[in-house]
Amino acid sequence: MLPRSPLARRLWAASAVLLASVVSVKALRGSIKPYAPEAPSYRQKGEAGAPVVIVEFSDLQCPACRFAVGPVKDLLKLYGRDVRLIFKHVPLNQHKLAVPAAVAAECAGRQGRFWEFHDLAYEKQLDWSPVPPPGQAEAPPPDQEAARKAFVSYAKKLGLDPAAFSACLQDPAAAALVEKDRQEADQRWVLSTPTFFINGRRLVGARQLSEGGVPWIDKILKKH
Amino acid sequence: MDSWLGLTARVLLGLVFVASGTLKAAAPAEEFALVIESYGLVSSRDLILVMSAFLPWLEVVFGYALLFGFLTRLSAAAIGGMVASFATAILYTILKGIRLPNCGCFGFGFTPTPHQELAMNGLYAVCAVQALRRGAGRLSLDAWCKTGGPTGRT
Repeated sequence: MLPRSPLARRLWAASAVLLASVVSVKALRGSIKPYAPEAPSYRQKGEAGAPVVIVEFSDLQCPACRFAVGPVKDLLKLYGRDVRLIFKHVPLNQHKLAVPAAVAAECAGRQGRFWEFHDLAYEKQLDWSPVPPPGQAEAPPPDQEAARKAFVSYAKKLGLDPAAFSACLQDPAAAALVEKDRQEADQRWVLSTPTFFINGRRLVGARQLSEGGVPWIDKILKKH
Repeated sequence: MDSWLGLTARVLLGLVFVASGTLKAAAPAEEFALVIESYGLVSSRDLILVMSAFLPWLEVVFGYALLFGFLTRLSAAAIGGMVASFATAILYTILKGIRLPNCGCFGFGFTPTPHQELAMNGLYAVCAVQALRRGAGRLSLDAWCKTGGPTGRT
């Protein structure tokens, strides 16, 4: 059954190499399920029926996500009622304060101030999230208690009920919402933050969003 | 002895490139594009997207070719070229003080430090030179194509 001529054998061998390559990548890639993004209403901005839906997967402790806040706001300002933004938490494992920060944002959301807390947490990120001192590669160990105090102070600054906010920080239901988002991120192969899906198209990082977001949204609106 | 050394070098290097390429090719190309961006060596967005889509596939295909001993010298040269360019890029980030969130070497499964990655590239270069010098050797598709049996020698 195996070919006998050298040329046929070379073609057979080349096919085997290509087939092995495709099969191994496809097997690892698996399948991505159709996507219907859902999130509590306080984590959504814009009109419900907007033709463009931006789903942002972000980590409040991630510096790259902080740099993406401006470009996201620019897009919302530019397209106004045509765009809806949905925020999803992806607390990365290496960011030890990302889960408490996400839970605190959820707690602010329960009192209707998610976006204000989100903006403040990014603005003050360098205060509650330790960064490596100049000339050193490693950041100091995260201080959970200092971060908690910082989040409570932001809640006070935003006029939230401090008792309800502090109680919510211990509420497993708030943590469960964050965990649900993280699982969704895993299912969607979100490996870096921030990752954006604009009507299904993936853009990773502030630069891809800035350079690729506008042309893609223009294209969607042209077809709409 | 020589043929076993060549076989070991190409199988090891082939397996490394199959693993690293598959992890990256299976992930969304935009993720690898972000890693390429972070090196600061390529500024064109279109070129970055093309590289992120094709580079992992080149690693997988040449990795399997080397593993199976098909077009062995060409595959070893191609992989040697990739190793040299990866090492140059990592060296550039070390010299420029660029802190990479992820070197992109093995997708997102394993993230060595830049110095570890440089050392690993040195090892890969030795394997590539061995495979290039000794050719397909035993248990290779090249030998099968030439002599008619999978255990033949070139």
